[in-house]
Amino acid sequence: MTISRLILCLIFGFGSGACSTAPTESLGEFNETVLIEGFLQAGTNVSGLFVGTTMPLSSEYDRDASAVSDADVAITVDGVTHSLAAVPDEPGAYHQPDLVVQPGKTYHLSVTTGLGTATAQTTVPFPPQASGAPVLYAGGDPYRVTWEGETNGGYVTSRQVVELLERIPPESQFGGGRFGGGFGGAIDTTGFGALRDSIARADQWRFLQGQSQTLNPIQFSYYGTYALLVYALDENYGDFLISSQQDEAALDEPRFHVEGGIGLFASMAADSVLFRVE
Amino acid sequence: MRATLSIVSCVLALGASTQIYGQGTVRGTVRDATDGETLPNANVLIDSLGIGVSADKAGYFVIGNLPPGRHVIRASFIGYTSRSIEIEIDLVETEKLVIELEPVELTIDEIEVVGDRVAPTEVTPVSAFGTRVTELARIPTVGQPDLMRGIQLLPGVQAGSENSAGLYVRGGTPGQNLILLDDVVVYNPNHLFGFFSTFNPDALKNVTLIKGTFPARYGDRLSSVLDITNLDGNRKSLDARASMDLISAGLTIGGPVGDRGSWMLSGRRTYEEVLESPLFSHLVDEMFSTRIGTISTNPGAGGGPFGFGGRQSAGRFGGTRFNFQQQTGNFEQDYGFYDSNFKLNLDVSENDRLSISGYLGRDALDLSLPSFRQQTRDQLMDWGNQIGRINWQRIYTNNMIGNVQVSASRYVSNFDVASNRNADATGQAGEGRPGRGFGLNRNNELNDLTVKATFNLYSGPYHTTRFGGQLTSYDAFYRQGVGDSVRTGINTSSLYQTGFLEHVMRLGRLELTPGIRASHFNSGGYTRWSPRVAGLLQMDDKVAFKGGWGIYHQFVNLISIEANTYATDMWLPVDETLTPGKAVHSAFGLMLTPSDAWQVDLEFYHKGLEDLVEFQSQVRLDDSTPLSDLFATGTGTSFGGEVLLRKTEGRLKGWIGYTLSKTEHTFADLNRGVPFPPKYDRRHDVSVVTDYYVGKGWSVNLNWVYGTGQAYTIPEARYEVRQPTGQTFAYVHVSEKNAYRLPAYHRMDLGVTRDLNLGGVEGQLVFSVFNVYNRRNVWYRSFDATEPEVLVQDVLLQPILPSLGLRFNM
Repeated sequence: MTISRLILCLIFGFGSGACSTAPTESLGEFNETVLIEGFLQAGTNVSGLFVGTTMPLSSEYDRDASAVSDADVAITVDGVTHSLAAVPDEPGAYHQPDLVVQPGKTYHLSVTTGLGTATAQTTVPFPPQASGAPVLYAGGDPYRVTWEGETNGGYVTSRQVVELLERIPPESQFGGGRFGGGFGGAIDTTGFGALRDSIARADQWRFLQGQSQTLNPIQFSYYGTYALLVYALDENYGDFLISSQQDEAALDEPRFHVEGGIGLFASMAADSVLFRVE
Repeated sequence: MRATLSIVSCVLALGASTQIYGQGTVRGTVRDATDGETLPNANVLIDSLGIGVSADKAGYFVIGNLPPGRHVIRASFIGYTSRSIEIEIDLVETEKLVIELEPVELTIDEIEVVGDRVAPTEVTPVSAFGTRVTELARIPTVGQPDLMRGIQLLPGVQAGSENSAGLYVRGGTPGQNLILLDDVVVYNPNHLFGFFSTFNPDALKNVTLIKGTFPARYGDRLSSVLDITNLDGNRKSLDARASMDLISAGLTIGGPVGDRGSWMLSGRRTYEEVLESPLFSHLVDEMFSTRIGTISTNPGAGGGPFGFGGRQSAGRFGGTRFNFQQQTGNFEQDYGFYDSNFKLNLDVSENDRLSISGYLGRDALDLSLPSFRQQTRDQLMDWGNQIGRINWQRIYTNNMIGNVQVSASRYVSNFDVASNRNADATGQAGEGRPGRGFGLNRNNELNDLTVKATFNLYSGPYHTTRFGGQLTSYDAFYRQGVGDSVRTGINTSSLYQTGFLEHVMRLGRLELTPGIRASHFNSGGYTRWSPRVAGLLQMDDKVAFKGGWGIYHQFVNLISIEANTYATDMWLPVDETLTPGKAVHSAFGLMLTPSDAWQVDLEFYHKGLEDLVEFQSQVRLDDSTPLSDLFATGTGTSFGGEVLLRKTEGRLKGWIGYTLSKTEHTFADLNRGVPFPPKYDRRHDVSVVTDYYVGKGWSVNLNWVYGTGQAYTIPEARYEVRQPTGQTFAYVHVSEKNAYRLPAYHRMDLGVTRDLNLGGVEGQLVFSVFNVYNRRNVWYRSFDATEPEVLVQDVLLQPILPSLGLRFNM
C-alpha cells in the first residue's frame, strides 16, 4: 500500500469490509451413526420404533435410504426381553404388538446393527389428572385447564375437536374490540415463547413445564365440543424438546439419552378434559 | 464468630507488641515529583540493612523497628528515577517523609536511569504484573489506546479474539476476573460489544494484574484480579489533558484543593454526530452485523441457515429471538458511548484522608426504523456501569493504617423493541387493524452495595498483617416482557459477608504470605473457607524462586451468551440450586534480574475448576425455572508455563512473552460428557512488545502476536427426528466439540509518536497501523448446510487499519 493510498484510506474510509468471507473445504469425515426414534405411550402397544443412520452432508436426508431394516431390536422390561419385528413395507420400522406399555415401568432398548449396539431406556410416566370447567364461553373469560401429577419431562398439550357446530359470530368471538391495541387476553407464564401464548393456535402441540394452560376464547371459531389432551413426558422427551433447536453457531445437538448412537427413546402418558364452547 | 474475634485479637496484640520494642520508625508517601500523584506499590528500601517494603495503593509506606542512627532510604518505581534520602532515626520521633520521584520521560537523554528490580506490586510477586497505565496505553491498537488490549499481550492472558477486549486468564473466562477500579467491582468493562474497554487511560494511574494465586484480600472470583487505580489529580497545579482520535475525544482536568488535596475529572465520548470517522463507522458496522445478526427473533419458527429444529424451542434465554437482519434488510444504526471518571482527595488531617471517586459509562444503540413494512419500529439497546465510592483512610498509629469504604456498583443492560403497524407518517392509523402495537423488552440490572474495612498493620520491617471485612448486598433483576406483560421475571437479593486475614513475613531470604478468606453467601446458605499462601525465596539480588497456592470461590456468575462478552451479558448470583464455583490454583517459578534493565520471569501453573457454569442456549425460562436449569455445570483444568522477558529501562523497553498451555472442560450435558477444549484454549501464545525512543521527540512502538488457532466444531452428517405428530426436526451431526483448529493467528502493529510543542503546549501526535502486513486472520468459521453442497465460510478479522490520534497536556 503506497503512502498516498494510505492517506486516502484515512481520509475517505476503508474500501472493503474487514469481515469478508472466504470459502474453504474443511468439512469433517463422514462417520455413519445409528439413529433411533421410539415413542412409548402408556396403554398402547410398542409400535413405530424407527432405526436408521445419519447421512452424508453431501446428500439430502432420505428417511427410507437411511432406514436399517435388519437390526436386532429388543426391549427389556421387568427382566423379560421382547424382540421387536420389522414392519413389512415400512423401512426401518419395528414393533411388538404383544407388549403393552405400562406407566411406572422402565423399558430398556437395545438396537444392534452393523455399526454396533445402541442402548437407551425410558421410565414411563403416570398420566396426569387433568380438570377444567365444562363450558368455555365465546367472548368470555379465558378458560383454564389444570392438572396434577409428577413428571421429569414436563407436559405437552393438544386440542382436539370432538364435535363442531355453527360458526361463532365475530362480535361474540372478539368480545367487542379485542384488537383495540396490543395483545389481549391472559398470558400463561408457564408457556415457552414470548409471543406464543398470544397468537398460538390451540390445536398446536404445546410444550409446558407448569401444570396449567389457559385457552383464549378468541382461539375458537366454532361452537361445539372439544378435548384438551395433556401428555406427561419422560425426562428424555422433555430434554429433547427443550434442546431441540440447534444453534447454527454453537452446533450443540439436542440432549439425547442414547448410548452408542443418537436419537430419541421416550415415553408419555395422557389424560384429557372435555368442554363445550357456548 | 468467636474464632474470628480471637484471630483479630491476636493480630492487634501482634501490632501492639511492636510499640514495646520502641525502636525507630520511618513512614511516608512516595509521589510523582511533577504533579504530586502518589505512586502505588513503589519500592522503598534501606540497602544497608537489607530491608525493603512496598508502598500500599495510596503510596503510603511504614518501616519500623529500625536501629537509631543515620540511614539512606531509597525509593524507586518503574518508569521513574530512583531517589535516595539520608534520614536520622531516633527512638522518640517518627520520621515522616514525602519522597518525590522524577518520571523517566523528562530525563532520559540526560541521566542514567535506575529502575525497579521487580515490577512493583502490593502482593508477593507470584503471577503478578504491575505497571503504570501510561506504559500500556502506548501500545498501538485499533483507534484508541486501550488498557485491556495491553494486558492481553501479557503471557498467560489471551483475547477471545481481536474483536474483544475481554481477558481470558490462564484458561479462565472474562466473568471469572475480579476487575476493580479504586477497589470497586466493575461488572461490565466493555464498550462496543467488547471491542473497547471502558477504562480511559487518561484517567488512570496504576494497574496490577494477578493471574492466579492471588492473596486473601481479594475474593469472589475464580481466575484473576485486575486492580486499577484512578488518578488522584494534580496536587501542585491545575492541569489538563485533551485527546482526540478516530473513535472518541476526551478531556481530563485536575488540580489541587488548596494544599490539602486534589481533584480529577475526566470524560470521553464518541463524536459521531459531529464527524463520522471511517474507522468508527467500519468498526460499528462490523460489530453489529456480526453480533446483532446472531440474535434471532422468529419465535418458534426455528431455522437459521440449516433450517432445522426449533418448532417447540424457546431459543436463547427465554424464548424470544430477535433477528433484525432477517426482518429489516438494511438499517442504519446510531451508536455511541461515553465514560467519565472523577476523584476528590482531601487530607482532612495529618492522619486522615477522605477520597470520593466515581465512574459513569454508557453505550447506546438506536436501531429504529421510521418505516418498514408499514410499521414504525423503535429498537433501542443501552448498557453500562455506574460506580461510586467514598473512602476514609486513617493512620491510626505509626504502624497501622486503615481504609473504610462505602461503595455502590450498578450494571444495567436494556433491550427494547416496539413497533406500531399500519400507522402512516403522521402517526394516524391506516387501513386494516388500526394501531396494533407490538413490543418486546429485556432488562438486566445488578446492584452491588458494599461496605468494606481493611487494615494494614506493620509490625516492623519483617511483618505486615492485613485484615478486613466486607458486607455486600446484591440485587439482581432480570425481566423479559411482551408489551406491558412480564413474561419472565427474576428478582434476587443476596447478602455476601466475607473477611480475610493475611500476613506477610520476611524470614531471611524468604518472604511468605499465608492468608485465609472466609465467605458466607446467604442465598443458598453457602459458607466457604479459602486458604492461600504465596512465597518468594530471594537467593541473591539476581535470582528468586516463587510459588503460591490457593482456593477460590465465586458467588456471582456472568451469563455470557456469546463467547465474547457484550451488552446482553447478565450477572446472576448463585442460589440454593446452583453451587458456587471453586478453583484451586497452584503456581511456581523463577525470577531472574540479570541487570537493572532486564527481568526474566518464568512460571508454571495449574488450575483445577469445579462447579463451572456454562449458560445453556437451549433452555426455557419462566418464573419457576430454577437457576440450575439455566446452566450446564462441569469441571475444568488448565495448566501451562509462561515466560516473560522484560526490559524496563533505556531507549528500548518492552517484553517478549510466551505461553504454553492447555485448558479442558468436562460437562455432563455438553459433548456427550466427553472432555473438550473451550474455544479460547491456545497451545502456543507469543507476544513481542517494543517501545523505542528514537530521540528528538520521536518514538516507535512495534508489536507482534502469534497464537494457536481457535478451537471449533464442524458438522459431519445430517439426520432428522420425526415426532409422534409427524413433524420432523432436521439436524446436523457434529464432531467432538471444538475438536478442530482454525489457522494460526498472527499480527503486527506499529505506532509512531511525535512529541509536539505548540505555543508552549506540549502534546503528542500518534500514528498507528493495526495489522501492518494485513494478515487475514479468521474470526470464526460458519457452515451453511441447508443444501447438500455445504457452504463453508471464514469470517475474517480486521484488515490493515491505520489510525491517528492527538493529545495535549496543558
